[in-house]
Amino acid sequence: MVKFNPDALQSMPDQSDTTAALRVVDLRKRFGQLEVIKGLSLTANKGDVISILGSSGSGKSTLLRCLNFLEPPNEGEIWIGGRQIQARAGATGQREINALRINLGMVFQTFNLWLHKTVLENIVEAPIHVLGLSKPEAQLRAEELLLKVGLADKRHAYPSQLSGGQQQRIAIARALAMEPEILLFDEPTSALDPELVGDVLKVIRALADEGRTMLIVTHELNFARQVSNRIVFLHEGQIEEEGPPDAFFTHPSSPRVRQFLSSQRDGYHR
Amino acid sequence: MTLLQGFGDQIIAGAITTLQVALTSLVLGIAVGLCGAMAKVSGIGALRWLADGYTTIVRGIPELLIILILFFGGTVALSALFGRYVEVDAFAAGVFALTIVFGAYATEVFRAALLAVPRSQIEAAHALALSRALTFRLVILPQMWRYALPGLGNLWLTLLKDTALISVVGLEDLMRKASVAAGATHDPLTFYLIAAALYLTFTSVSLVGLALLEQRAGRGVRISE
Repeated sequence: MVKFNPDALQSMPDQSDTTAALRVVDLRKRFGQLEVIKGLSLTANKGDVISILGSSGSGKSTLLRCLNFLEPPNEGEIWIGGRQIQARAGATGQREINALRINLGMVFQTFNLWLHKTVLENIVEAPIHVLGLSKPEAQLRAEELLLKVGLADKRHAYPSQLSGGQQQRIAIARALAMEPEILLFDEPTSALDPELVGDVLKVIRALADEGRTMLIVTHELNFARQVSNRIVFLHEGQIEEEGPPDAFFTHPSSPRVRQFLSSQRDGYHR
Repeated sequence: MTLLQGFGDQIIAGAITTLQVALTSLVLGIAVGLCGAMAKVSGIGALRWLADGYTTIVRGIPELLIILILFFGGTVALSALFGRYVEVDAFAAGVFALTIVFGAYATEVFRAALLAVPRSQIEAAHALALSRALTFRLVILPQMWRYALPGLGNLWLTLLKDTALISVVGLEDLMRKASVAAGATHDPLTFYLIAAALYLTFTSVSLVGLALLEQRAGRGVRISE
């Protein structure tokens, strides 16, 4: 279990990095005998938009899910910049995990909106119960976010009355309502019909333009190239290659990346 | 008072007792069932073992026997405890026995309902830093309710009718009042038919109420279908 250690930064001044929004150090995750994240380290500076690519099974989603402890990592450290939160895998208590989660907004592939709650209720629950906002405050915040994702008229609808693209935009609003330092997107458009993908990507692009720090696991290569300032390519639980998008897409050094890119171009994808 | 040869008031009093026993057992039994279900899915070996034992024993023995064993067992236990003969109150014994029975079946209904709540709904709550208690109250409970209601409805109908069994240990319920009146007036058919009509009324009203509850619990889910 992870120890919450607010003094860690003081005791290790060389570890503090004021521009880093997120620092992952030597993260490891095993499912039984199978190690899916093999000592991965990654730093995201404030305002970074990092797209995480890789073939299926490379550990992309597991990486995101380890960051907010939906899958508790086996080893490693997770640092959230400004708030001095350190999670050392193996000894983290629930309170520390929740402190971490407040700072990491998660958007799921399957939206995961609560089916029994309206759009507005979906957005206000966590701000009210976790951040301690009053109901009017939370509703005001929710209304603003709904305007932002272009769905203000759906505030009283239930998720089942919305299209997948609309649900995903609500899910983004729900994550934003917690005002997290960092947004994590886990294949946000993979469950959508092709014609609905554009609206969701537009919202994500607008968030990137605001300077938000984001980690995006995606299969949308064109989008990743346009929206990110850094690409990370995972292979078997490790970073195979990383760099600025133009270099990554035009002359990748790893043969695996070249193979991946050509298969994506020739293959099934847009 | 000539209504029903003077037994009208008695029958009404019995019906009220029946409803009181049933409703009290329902509320307590739901609490027992929720605890039992959480024990079963808790992953804590001892709790699961205890809950498994409870549901296995109670569901494996006829209700009438459970009532008799708890009533006479309770009398023996309390008498030993106080060092003198204590007769167990029939109402308390009835509620206790029916709670135990209802709780065992409700444990299984709730367990299935708990497992039916999609993992992704719970993960969304966790990702938003909601505590376990809040996740249970805001997400799991309202959603499992929807899965549990049809099963609970059935159990409620059974419970309502099982109250008639409590009359064997002397509870002055609808069944007992009807039987006393039947014996005193030598007109059993009339009184048993009246009792049957009252039970049927209660269960029918319950069915309407259940339908409304199910509709409410299903909000957000069946709207588009």
